[in-house]
Amino acid sequence: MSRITTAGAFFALSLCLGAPFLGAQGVTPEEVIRQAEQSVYPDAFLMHASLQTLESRHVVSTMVMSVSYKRGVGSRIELLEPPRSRGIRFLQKEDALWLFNPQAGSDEAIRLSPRAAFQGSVFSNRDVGDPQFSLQYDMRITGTESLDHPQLGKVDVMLLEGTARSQTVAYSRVKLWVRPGDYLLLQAEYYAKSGLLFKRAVFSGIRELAGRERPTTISMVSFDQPARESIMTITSLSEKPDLPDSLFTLAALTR
Amino acid sequence: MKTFSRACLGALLLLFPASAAPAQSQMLFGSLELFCQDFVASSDPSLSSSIGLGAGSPLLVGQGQLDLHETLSFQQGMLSVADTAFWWQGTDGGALQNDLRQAYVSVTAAPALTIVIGKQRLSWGTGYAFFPGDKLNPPVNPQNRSEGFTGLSATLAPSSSVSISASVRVDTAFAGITQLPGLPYPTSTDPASAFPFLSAGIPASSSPPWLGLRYALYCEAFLGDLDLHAGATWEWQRVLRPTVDFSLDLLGFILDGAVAVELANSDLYPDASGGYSSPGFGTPFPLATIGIQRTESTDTGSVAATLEYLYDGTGYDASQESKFLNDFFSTLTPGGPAATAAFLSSAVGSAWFSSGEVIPALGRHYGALTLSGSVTGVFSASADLVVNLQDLSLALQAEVRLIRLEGIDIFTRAAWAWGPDNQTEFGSSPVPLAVSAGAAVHF
Repeated sequence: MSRITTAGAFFALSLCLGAPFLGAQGVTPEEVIRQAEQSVYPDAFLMHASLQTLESRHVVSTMVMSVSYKRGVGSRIELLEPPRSRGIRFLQKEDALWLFNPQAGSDEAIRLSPRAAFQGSVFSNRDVGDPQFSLQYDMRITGTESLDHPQLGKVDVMLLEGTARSQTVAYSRVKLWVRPGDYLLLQAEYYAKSGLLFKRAVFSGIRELAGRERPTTISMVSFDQPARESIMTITSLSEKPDLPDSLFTLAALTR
Repeated sequence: MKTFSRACLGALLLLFPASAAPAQSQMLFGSLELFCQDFVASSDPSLSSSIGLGAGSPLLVGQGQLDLHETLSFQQGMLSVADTAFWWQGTDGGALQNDLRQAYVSVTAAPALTIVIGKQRLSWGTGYAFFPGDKLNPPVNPQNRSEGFTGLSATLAPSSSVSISASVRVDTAFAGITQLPGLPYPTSTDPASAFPFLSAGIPASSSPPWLGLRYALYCEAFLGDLDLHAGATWEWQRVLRPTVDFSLDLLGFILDGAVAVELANSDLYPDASGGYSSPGFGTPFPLATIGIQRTESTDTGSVAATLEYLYDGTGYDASQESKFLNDFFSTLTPGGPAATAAFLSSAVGSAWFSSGEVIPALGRHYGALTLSGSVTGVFSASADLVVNLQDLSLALQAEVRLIRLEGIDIFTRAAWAWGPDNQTEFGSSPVPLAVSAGAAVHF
């Protein structure tokens, strides 16, 4: 913990000394965001997670899914629960999102908009299917802040802002709160094109997972649906650098 | 309907537990549907009598269907009975039948190469209702909705945004496949018995079976917002169809389109002699489709709409369509309940009365409109309309599902076909209305 505090102090000092756009050890925003997103997910992984959506604190839906992801190649999500949705699969590749539902008797995958809500949750399809910011946003470090975190309490963090590189990205701007030292991502805010704050995600449940400390709970609230909240809980995560690229094709999605 | 022997399928399913031990994961899911379906015969006596029913008379049939999907995943691939159904209906005495739609072994031969052997489908096209470039997979019909072809496919992903699939379809070499313009029915039906009036037009084949193999190459490129697909299917003297498909996300509207051309059309067309014959190799028959789709999500659910148009240059014009229908019904002999049962359980009959589900068959110009919506945890509803723009006949299918109970759906659905007269595609249905209600358990 003292290492983190020292790093935070060094980072704050570096800001005061006129190096506002460099991180704690002189790192660039791109390096910070790469470290921050790797604090949540490795570059290639297989994950099992549950996704619960609450309405006025009452659970309205629960689903369990497996997510395979390979940076720069794509992601594939398969729903395991509830039984009605079992077998539904999604392929996110570049800016395209495809869905295949074997239980619907459909023969082909259909294309969806990545910005649409993921299965009625507060998460967008892209939040789940393409969780890395560095491929979608131009990032800059804007300052430091003290964040009140539900698990860690008061934490000194660095603040990053990202601007979307393309219109198909789910949000036009994001703000990220990252703990200096280990670059743990603790909070994110997502903004609409108009500049309005749209959603907030809080990363908590920090514990050892896949070789390092990672958040295992991501709670997302939407400010245009204030009574709704979706909570993703990662139950298992393993680094899988050998995931075959051929898994992320439409041919594989429909089989 | 191609049915598999029960013993054979049972043995296949029994293999799963035996091979489950070394498997990394196993997944089994599906649904059991039990429902009653009320068919209402056409008010036109010439149509209803052809299947042994009085004009406008109803026929209540109990039906059940068990759909299973099972996959065993291993380090180097998977063994999958991807889609099989056990079903029964009252009109054929309640006998249990089964339909093995897809079952295959998939091997990851290299990180970027997957080889699939068995009965399978290959994803083809970017549309929602129409896939004019797809001559590899069997056409869709209500009972063989996701029936695969038997053969071998290899999919290579040479880069992160490109994949190439090469397939060889084997069953075309051994099954006498009679083709009509886009008709879904004859693929696994003996053409001589289903369409005896066509028999004279079917060329006698003395070719060795290997000339009946069908080959396909299909490439997908993911280019940001644009997905571009291109491919071609070829079978000696029967099919040569190159195609280009695209899908584009334009501010949340998904546009799709395809252009294809058939250069070796072996479909059967009415000819000057009063019979049927194929144009054969050389004459180009263009096909094209264009569509748009939009989904809107709210805090309580979602709504989606899809609109698509198809120009099928291989289709019949109005007079050819009328002649075919006239020939078809003149071959049906008015019969009693046995004729009704035989008709309803045949692939031809099921396609006809459930025509709301059927991708269009005979004509050249079609439109499709799909509306769907859901309120999370309460209900879902959908309506699919297909219009033959040439004769203005249409088929509508609508369904409402109550989904309040965990894993159990209560549903009702209706399929309605209509046309200006009985010489039009959907107006020719002997059973133009079918209404059903039932329940489905998902597991």
